[in-house]
Amino acid sequence: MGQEIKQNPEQQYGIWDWYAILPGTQLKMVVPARLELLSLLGATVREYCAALPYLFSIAEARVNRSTTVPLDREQFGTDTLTLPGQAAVTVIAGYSHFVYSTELILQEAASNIIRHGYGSSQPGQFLQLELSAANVQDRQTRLERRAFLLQLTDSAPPFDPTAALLSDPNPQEPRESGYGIYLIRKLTNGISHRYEDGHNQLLLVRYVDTIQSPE
Amino acid sequence: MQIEQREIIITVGSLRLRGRLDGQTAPQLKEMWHYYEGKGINNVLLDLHQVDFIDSIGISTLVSGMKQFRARGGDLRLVGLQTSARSIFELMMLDKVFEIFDSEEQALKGF
Repeated sequence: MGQEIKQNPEQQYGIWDWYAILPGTQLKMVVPARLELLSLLGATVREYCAALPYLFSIAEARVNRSTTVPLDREQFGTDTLTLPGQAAVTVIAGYSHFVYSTELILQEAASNIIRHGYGSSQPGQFLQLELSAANVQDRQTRLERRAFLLQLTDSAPPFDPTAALLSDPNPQEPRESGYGIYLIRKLTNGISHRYEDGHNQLLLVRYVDTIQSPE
Repeated sequence: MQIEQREIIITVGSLRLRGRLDGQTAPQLKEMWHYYEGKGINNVLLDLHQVDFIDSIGISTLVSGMKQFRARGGDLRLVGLQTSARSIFELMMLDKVFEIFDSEEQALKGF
């Protein structure tokens, strides 16, 4: 099955030149834009993340050899992840944090859209969530990386979270708000936003590892 | 010499939360800040052992509570913050803002 390669036309906060979604890894759901449903979206993204190593290993089963990949220790709390060629999973320390923080990113982004985007006009509005596994080319290193993509689409007025100016937190004067977008930026490797045909499309990218060719 | 003997008992509020602390549930916690303010209680322990998720609104509620208690000479101390939530706190340097303890016993010592 051929892969559809998408360029990153925005390059606002994005760090990738292109990405290619791995066939068969997409999950799409449309839910009413209601705060009560955020925990349902959260549970979905948790389950999806738990399956992510399987999705990569199935998509790459052709290789049929185990692949050990280096991880960003700061982000994952561990150095390597072993992805067997067959569908088996090595549970790694630190992966639970990846799952937790991915749910947090979704919670922040979706809650922003529902509370501030739709506001009082929530009734009858919808939110579309798309999760996928992809290969992404990092712009700086030119390395191909495995990535988890989370895309949210809504029909609220245009809002670009990549445009917000954010200052780093100051422990001397802790602020009482404004943590949401800060968290999204800190916990993702790339964000792109575009407003098209009356819809906000927010794409959040998290690297899962760096692909190394099997020895 | 005269010795005047008194015993002062400081009341410490203790809350144990279970579940998610997020935009949906944070208003309940905010009500507790008002409750303590009404009772004149300015020192509070918040047990988070069984809180498995904290979002930005939950965090904002903790920060605003802590500021209120400190402004009245007290404090809000956190107990048993789970590993993932703790790393999010560290990301936002909130581990330098809050006093975070592993057990209620330890947290009570400094009051």
